[in-house]
Amino acid sequence: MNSSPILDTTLRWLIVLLAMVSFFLLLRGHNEPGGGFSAGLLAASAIIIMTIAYRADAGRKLLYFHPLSYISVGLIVAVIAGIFNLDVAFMRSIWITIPLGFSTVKFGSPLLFDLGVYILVLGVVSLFVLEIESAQNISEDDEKKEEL
Amino acid sequence: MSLAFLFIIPLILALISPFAFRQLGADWSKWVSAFVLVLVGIIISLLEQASTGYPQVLHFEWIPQLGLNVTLRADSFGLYMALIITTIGAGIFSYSSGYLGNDPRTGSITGWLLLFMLSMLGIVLADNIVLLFVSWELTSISSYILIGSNHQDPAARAGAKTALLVTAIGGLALLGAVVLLGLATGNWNLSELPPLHDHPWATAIFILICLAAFTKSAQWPFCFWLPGAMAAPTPISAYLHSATMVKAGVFLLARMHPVLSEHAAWTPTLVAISSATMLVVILAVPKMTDLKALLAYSTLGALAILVCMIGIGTPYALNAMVVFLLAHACYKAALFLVAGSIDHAVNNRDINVLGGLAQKMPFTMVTAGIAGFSMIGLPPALGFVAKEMLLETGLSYAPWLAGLIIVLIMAFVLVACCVVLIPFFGKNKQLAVKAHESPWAMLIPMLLISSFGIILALGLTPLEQYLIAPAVASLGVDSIDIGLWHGFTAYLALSTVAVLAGFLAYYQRHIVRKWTPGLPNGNHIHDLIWTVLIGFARALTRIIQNGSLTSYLGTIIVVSCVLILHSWIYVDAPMIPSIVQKVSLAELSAGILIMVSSLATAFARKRLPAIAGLGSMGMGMTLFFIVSQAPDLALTQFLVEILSIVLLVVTFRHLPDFSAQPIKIQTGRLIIAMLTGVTMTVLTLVALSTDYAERVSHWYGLNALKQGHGYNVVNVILVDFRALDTLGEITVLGIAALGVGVLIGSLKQIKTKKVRL
Repeated sequence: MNSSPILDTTLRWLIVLLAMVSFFLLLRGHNEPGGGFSAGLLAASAIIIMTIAYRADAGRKLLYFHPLSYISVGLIVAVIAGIFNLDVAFMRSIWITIPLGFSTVKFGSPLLFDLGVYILVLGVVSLFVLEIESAQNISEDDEKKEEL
Repeated sequence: MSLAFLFIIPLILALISPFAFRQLGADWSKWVSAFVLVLVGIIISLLEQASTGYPQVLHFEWIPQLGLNVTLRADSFGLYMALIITTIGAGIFSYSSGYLGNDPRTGSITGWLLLFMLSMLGIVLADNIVLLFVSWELTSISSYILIGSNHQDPAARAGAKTALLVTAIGGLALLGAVVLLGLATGNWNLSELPPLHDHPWATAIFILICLAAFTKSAQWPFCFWLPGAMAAPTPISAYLHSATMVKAGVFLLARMHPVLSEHAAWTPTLVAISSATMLVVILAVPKMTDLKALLAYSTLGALAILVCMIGIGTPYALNAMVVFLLAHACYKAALFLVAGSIDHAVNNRDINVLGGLAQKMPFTMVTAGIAGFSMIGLPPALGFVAKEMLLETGLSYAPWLAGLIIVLIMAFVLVACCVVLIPFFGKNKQLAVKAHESPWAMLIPMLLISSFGIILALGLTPLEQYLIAPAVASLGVDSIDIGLWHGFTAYLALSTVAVLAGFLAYYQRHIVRKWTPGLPNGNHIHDLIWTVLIGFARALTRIIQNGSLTSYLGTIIVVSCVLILHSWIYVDAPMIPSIVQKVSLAELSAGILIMVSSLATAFARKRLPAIAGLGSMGMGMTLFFIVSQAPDLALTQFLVEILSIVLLVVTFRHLPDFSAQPIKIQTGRLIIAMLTGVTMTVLTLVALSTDYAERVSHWYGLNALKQGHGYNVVNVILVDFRALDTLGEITVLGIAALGVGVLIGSLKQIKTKKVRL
């Protein structure tokens, strides 16, 4: 695929932006619109953009780990989030308040759960896109070989 | 506490077996044998307490909610069986160290044999019936692996599969019986089950128990699996298929005797089925030429007699059953081991070929002689005592049964002579040249096991006092004085006639063979059933799993619509609630957008416009969410819509172009679409007309901050209040992704293969 300097430069910034916004959505999700699911979708769209622009290898490189690892790690994190208060019930949340002097930060197991959802959704959507894209490449190679 | 060691020791040994075998080689089996002798000691030490009627009980809770506790109860009958299992087991382990030698599979075979022994001990000592079922299934599984341990042999694989299928049917029946027993009595302990013959479920329980016992103990019509299982290495045949596992069915019936024996069908069913099995054995034995097949069929006969005795169920019959169980275990295991030694020495088991081994294998011959003595039932062997009791019981039940038993004893005599005489004194001596005596590790257990049949009969009084009488007593009937010599009675005359006729049949065996009507081969029947079953399964799969996504989706949608509409019409009042609500301009325009774009999607001539139509439909939904002040849903819907459009665009180049085809209305799909539309409309209206939803959302609104520590109620519901649902959903998502990966991966494989071609 032809590389275009405009595309290259734009994507470099766009991907950073997408990553930041998706983190932002993840963190604010508990109090404002957002949350793990939509944040994960947004993060995955970065992979999609790379895949469409530069084929599956670029998307894989950006993702770094295999999409299945994201899926399994996401599930594991989500399950771990459920076991903090196991003597009461599975998935019963706990919350701790961390004083920062000027303000306080509340952190609870549901946030960890949301993080798991985020990672999993990122993995699932990336897997879809990467697999479909690379299957398409093979069929194109196929056609090329037939042409030769 | 010593009861626990009976299970812990074999388990540990089984787990370390493959590694230990690598270190110690063939000696490992001898070590195992020594450890199993320790188990024998433990069992003997438990006997005295059991005979008092207050046996040692081991109890700890496993899943108490399901009534599943590990409750072991070392009562006398259980210990009696356990003693047979471990004593013969110790012999088998020592024997297999010589038989299998340094064969690389020995480590795992020894491990599986230990696990098998463990599960057998579980069956005979379990008090909890669910634990009994679990152990029962474990014996089926370990027996499957042991029969198939020679897995490169197709016959071994086929035999293993048949055995597994038949015993698995029985296992399912036992599960049903156990559940019904537990529910009917509210009691999950064998020792506390009351007599059940009056209960409305008694017949069902009885049928299930019979199915389980008959499959495990290879009674007619399930008898064909046992000869097929003879493809296993001989020590395994000797252990599983003569001495222990096949007795599990008999054991189960004996345990159920106090519970079900008053049922009207108990005696007729058991006697009829076991008689049918005896008939099969009588007809099959003269045709057999393989040593192991001969022994296998005579084992079927012995099992049939045991079942028959339990069926008759008088105290005398049960006494006979207990004595014959022990006698048979001793002589049959020993004879199997003899057959294995001959096979090991000359690599042949055919009685038409064997002969002249007397000089080469003197100790094996002595073993065979002692065991054959007991099998024929000559005094002073234990087999003699048992045979007299069997005949007496048979005669007291019905003369025809006594006749059948006499003919069966003839068949036993024939088998015993064929196995004991032909290989050692037969005229054919070609094979004997290369023969060699088995090593001591094989000979000692053989000699010991076979001579138990004589030693125990000579020490009949202590045997009766310490073993048989308590065992019979724990079955709930009175024990009876058994003696080696009852004087010259009618039974003695009958049994003498039977034995002499048996000898005659042996000497004229060629004539007998010629005049015995053949049996239909059980394997053919089994194969036929198997083919029909598999064919049916294939046809059904072709209908249900036809591979067309369209038909799957159609089925799912239609079924759910019909279910929803059905519950609306028959459960709720079939009226559409009237909801008067003001429709705002924004809502109206969103609705029009959705309708227009869905029509555009349906009538699009190319894929890209169709996808665009689908997308704008989704945007209309997003608009609805925004108007209804649900920013969270709107955000997610928006992202999902964009992503699905992107995915569709990425995919659509794969799909065939359809712009050339004329637009035609497909009636079936139109009906499905309209059905879906109507159903969803109804569902929405009904959902809106209840105030239930209102109360729920009110509760969440109140508690999101207080309990969930978050202002975003939707998110708090997702990650806290209903987190378990979310966990389920993301698991499904992950599995769906795996499915996509596998599907496309296989597509890639097909394509790359095509390239290579």
